[in-house]
Amino acid sequence: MKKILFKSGLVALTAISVISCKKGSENVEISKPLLIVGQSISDTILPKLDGSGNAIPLKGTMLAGKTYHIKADVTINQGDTLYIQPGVTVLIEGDGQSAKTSPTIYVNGSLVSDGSKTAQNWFTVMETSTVKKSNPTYKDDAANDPAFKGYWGGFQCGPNASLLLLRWSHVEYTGSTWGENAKDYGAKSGDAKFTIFMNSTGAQKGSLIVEDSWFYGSKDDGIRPNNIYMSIMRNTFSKMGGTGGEATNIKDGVYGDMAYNLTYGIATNGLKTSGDIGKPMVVNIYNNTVVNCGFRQTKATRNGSINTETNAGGFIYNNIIVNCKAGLRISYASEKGKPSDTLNTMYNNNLTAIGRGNAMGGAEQYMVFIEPNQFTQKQSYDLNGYVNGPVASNGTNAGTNTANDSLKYDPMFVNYDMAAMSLERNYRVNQIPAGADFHLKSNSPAIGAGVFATGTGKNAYPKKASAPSLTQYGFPMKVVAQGGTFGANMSAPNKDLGAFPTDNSGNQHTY
Amino acid sequence: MVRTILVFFLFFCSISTTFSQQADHIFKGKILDANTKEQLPGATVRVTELKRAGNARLDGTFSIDKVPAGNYHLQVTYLGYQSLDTVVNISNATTVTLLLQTNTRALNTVDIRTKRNVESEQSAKKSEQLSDNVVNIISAKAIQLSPDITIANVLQRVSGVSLERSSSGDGRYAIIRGMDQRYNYTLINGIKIPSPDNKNRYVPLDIFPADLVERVEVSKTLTPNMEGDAIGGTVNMVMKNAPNRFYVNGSLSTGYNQTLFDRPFQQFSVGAINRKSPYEAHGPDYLAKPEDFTRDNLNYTKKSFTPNAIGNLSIGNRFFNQKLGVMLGGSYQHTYRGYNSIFNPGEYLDKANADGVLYIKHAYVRDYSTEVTRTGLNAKVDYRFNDNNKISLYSFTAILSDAQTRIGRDTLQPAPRTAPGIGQVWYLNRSKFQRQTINSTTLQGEHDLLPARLKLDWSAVYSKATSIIPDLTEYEYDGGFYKDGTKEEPYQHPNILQPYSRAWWKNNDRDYAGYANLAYSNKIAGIPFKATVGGMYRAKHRDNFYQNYNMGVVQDGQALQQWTDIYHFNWTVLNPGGSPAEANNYRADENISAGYAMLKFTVKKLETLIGVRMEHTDQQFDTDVPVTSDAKSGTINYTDVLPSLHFKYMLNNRTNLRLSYFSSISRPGYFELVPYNYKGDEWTERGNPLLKHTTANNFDLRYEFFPRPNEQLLIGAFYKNIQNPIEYGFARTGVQGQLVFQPGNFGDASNFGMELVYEKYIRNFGVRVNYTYTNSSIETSKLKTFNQVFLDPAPLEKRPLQGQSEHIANAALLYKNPKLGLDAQLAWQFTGKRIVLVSPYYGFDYWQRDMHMFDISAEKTIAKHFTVFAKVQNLLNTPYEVYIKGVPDNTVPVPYQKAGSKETLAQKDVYGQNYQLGVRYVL
Repeated sequence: MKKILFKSGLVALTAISVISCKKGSENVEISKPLLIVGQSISDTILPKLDGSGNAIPLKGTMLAGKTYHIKADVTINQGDTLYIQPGVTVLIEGDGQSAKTSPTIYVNGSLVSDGSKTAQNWFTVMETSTVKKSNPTYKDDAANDPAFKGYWGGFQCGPNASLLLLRWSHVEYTGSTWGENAKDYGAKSGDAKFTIFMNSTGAQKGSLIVEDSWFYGSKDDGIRPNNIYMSIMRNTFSKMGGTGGEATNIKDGVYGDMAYNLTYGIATNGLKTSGDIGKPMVVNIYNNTVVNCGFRQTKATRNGSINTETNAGGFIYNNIIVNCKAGLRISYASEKGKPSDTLNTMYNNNLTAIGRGNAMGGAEQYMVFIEPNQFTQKQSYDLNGYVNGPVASNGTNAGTNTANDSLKYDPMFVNYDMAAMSLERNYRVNQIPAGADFHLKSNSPAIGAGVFATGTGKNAYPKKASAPSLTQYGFPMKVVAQGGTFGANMSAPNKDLGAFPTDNSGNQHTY
Repeated sequence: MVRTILVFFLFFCSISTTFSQQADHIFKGKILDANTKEQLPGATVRVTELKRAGNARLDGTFSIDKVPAGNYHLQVTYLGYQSLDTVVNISNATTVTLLLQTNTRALNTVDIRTKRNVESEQSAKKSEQLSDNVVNIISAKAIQLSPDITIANVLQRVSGVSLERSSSGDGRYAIIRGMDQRYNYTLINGIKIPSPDNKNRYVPLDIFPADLVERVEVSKTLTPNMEGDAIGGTVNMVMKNAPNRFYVNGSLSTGYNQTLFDRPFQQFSVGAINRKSPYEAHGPDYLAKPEDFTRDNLNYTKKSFTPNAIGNLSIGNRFFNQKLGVMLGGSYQHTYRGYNSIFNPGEYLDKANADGVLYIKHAYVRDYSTEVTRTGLNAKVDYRFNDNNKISLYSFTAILSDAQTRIGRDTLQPAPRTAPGIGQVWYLNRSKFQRQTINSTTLQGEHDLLPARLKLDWSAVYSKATSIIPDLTEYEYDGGFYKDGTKEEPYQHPNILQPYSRAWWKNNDRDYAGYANLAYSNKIAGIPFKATVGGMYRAKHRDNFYQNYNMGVVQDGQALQQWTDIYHFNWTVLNPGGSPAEANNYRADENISAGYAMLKFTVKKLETLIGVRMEHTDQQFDTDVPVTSDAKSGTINYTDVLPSLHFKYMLNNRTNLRLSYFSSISRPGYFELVPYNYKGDEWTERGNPLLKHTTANNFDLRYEFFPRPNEQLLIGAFYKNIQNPIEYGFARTGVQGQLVFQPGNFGDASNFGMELVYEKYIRNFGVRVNYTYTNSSIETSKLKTFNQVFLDPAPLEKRPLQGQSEHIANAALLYKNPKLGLDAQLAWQFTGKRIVLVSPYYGFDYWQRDMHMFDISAEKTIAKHFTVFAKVQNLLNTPYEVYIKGVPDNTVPVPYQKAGSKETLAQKDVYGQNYQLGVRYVL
């Protein structure tokens, strides 16, 4: 990856951006060198066309402060890098009506969107009289909410893409349909594009690093990679999937971490991992907060919070699940999924709270702590109202959910009343309420309930010597480059549960 | 039902005993053709003095009882023969042989080489005996008497032929000697026809009504003058020719299907279907709106009892001093059929520290209602300028319309199913309408350039096949019965509507072809020989159109939308621009040029045919995918040299011994080469531009004994060595871990077997038996996991070719009573177990169980020229059952499984009996 960058040429100019971090009580801001990769892209109407009207592939640097307009598909060629400085706005001029009128960013090389907390980057649709953006009044109206219109095609990576890095970046209104090149991406013409699709079928696994970013609105799945290394940390996902779709749907051959993400109002699961028959994957899922998920999926049993199936493994710890259709599921078999890799799966120290005071059924949508007859059991330090039942010969557990345990495991968010948000159809709301704060009140049961590096007893890091993949990849696994502009900024598991621990080290977003 | 058969046998026996009682004297004899000594079943012998008559039976014999001794005048008559008047003296048990002269000579204004009655069984047998290659022939008379109404069903009576069924439950494709339809081709009057199939080059044989043919020839070996792309064999339908005299043959019948007595026919409005997709109707920039999609074609109503209507009429004559011959034929079949199906596809589950296991997730119950309209039109005009020059114009059209309703229910086997009655239930209803047409028009000439020495024949052909499947749609809503532990009684999950899709398919296949053959016959040193050279060229163009719209479900306020009826289903169009540039939109061209030379000569009793054929294939395809995509277009060309050598050793005039070798090929379907990517019923299907064509070396040995002209004993053996056979299998795309179902070359295969055909007639009874043993073998790599990881390298699994049964048998018991004008037939058809679908997983292939089908048919003359007939197909209501070896890992018992069985029932289709009753007029 670095080789490619040197090939493109690295040019350091005067410092204009700063790096900010907290050192105890001190606020320290130290300037960061300005980075320009290759040539600056000064034209803001893209793509540029050559003499015969073909789009010229994109490479070089998008400059801070500029607003770029993408009028048609743009492509970053294999070996090329598009570097986007902090503070760039990319407006995609799409209407979601057809593939032709809904541009897509194709990445066959590297794309680095290097936003910062103070200079965030935007990838959003250009609003027009007919292409409207969503707004907070659309709380649960998938039929009309522009968030689900799929105005543009997101980031589609080719088989040899080496790096897609989004940092402090907003990605909104993706999910337009596939057109004539669908077959090159294993898709079907007419199907919705995922916000980020990446599948390294070339010689080397590419890297996907998504951190501190916001994903708002998509027609189908958000992040859906195969065969890569990844780190997905401290992001916020809301309004993902119109009538089906996950915020992240991680497929076979992926190794990495998903942590400190907030997924809110997702059609199906917030976070899902699903390998394939004979093709394993290991992804650690920790310290995420998953709220109001699973209620727009029309299929009955695709779970609705965190789900692993078909040969997926990993450490699943320290997550908070609130008012979702169902809590964590380690699948044996659903109508789509096949057995998870239970040998290479460890899970514990997760909190699941549901806010429904009485039994569910009839026209009301299901809400349970754990879906019975899958592998999932209530573990020793889990906080939920599931009672383990007998284990069948195939390893599934026929337990029961205690309806009276509703609200019992309330994680006590600083500003989010889970009880009120479970009433009527509030559990279906997919717009994060203004001012919501998913940090933990001091009396939260989630405080000090997590595993962390120096923890002991119930807080001790999990280990399973008999699980070869878990032993090999570790917890957290750090399979992508760490640190710097082109690496990931990893957050380790916290002693508190959820994405917003009391030491403020996790997700930095406010709502 | 066993009782039905017993009754049938008793019926036979009682008739035969009734008419064989002893009296004064029994007058017995045979009526034969004076020249060929063929028996003439049905010929009448009249004893003038007694005003009594007898008819020759199936074996050519007749018998008249209670004849007092004395001298009698006999009048012997038979259609197409000069009548014979003679006198006999009957005393004791007299046996006579009566010889009739054919009356063709009387018509001999020009050289009429037409056969006496080409539709007859005897004529068929004669052709088999005289043929240069290994051929089986079914005559029109045999078809008329059989219970079959389509050519496909007729073919299963031929030795070594079994059928593959279409989704409508009808036999559709012929598998010849275990080689599936791709290895065979179809001809009309010797001319290859294009296919309306949307994917393949083989022709669906259920499109052809059986009653327009003069005979069907199944050739199992190829001579150099035949096109070389058949490894199993070829099916040639010889349509009715202009007769020598005024000819009328018509029938009218009706019938019904037992399934539809038991449950209603579910019908949708075919007229409501938009024949064109929004894309075609409004242009490529059109953005489809929800109201562009019709609802009436998804609204199912119960149709009241409507019987089938089946009719055909053929009329022919010769004019202008026999020079101009005209034959016109039409056939119309309008039938309703229903069948019920269960389908439990097998899935593969990984296991920790163990091999993967079989698991059943879906248990579909599907009720099919199919309305089929089958139309055939046949016209032939020939003109004989003189003895040496003849031209003919021939045109045939077949149209098959098929409207099928599929009402389905899928009970999901995984959780939340914890016991029968609890779990998810998905409801899926599908409307499919398909219209396929084939038209072939041929202008042919035959010229004796040097009479009895040099002969030229040529053909110019225009053919077209089309298929359209407009608005193929299946909508779905999910419900079921759940138990959440809070109540004893399960509650009903609301029926939630699901996203679905609507697709339009259309394809055309057009051929221009020319054929020419020049044959020279002479003798050198007393050795007669015939040298033939010829060539052909065919330019084929095919285009395929596909458009798919994904329909989304509009949320119903703050809830998921529930099913009420199709008129309240609120949907959106997820891809208003359609599915542009699907690889399914493709154009393919194929130009075949071929030439051959062959020499036939006879030294004493050994007839040798040696020759070689060269075929050059030039294919190209072009798709609408962008220029930046892989395999947007391609050209493929290759040349094959196909030698062949056939020996026929005539031990005597009733016995032949044949030995032949030929080399042949099979070309991939055009669609198989195109890089399409189509999500099918169960899998994603994908093309393979790198697919190679198949080549084969074929060896045949056959002993033929024709004890009497309509009796035969054939014993044969064959061996085929096949390189690069094309089988469908699963491959990984590397994209999203997806397995795709695609055609591939899975290494070489071998196929050997033996055939036995026996026909025998004793007085009023006849028996026809054939049996084929086939053993083919191919080794392909399969997917298998241990401890959740694929074994690497993938293990090899040896199996027979898809569609090949080890044992295929037919038996027919015939009864003919000329006195009563009664013909009856009981037919048994056996297809032994075979793989109907190859699984990507080791040991999970889908096997069809042994299948015995019984059909019965009878006809009786009721007045001069009039016959009534009755047919019952599938007398015992034999189910079509498919299983996977092994027991599923499910903890909740899978429906319809036999307790303790080592197999998993994956599919069971129950068709019900089909009844047909009609009247025929023959002049």
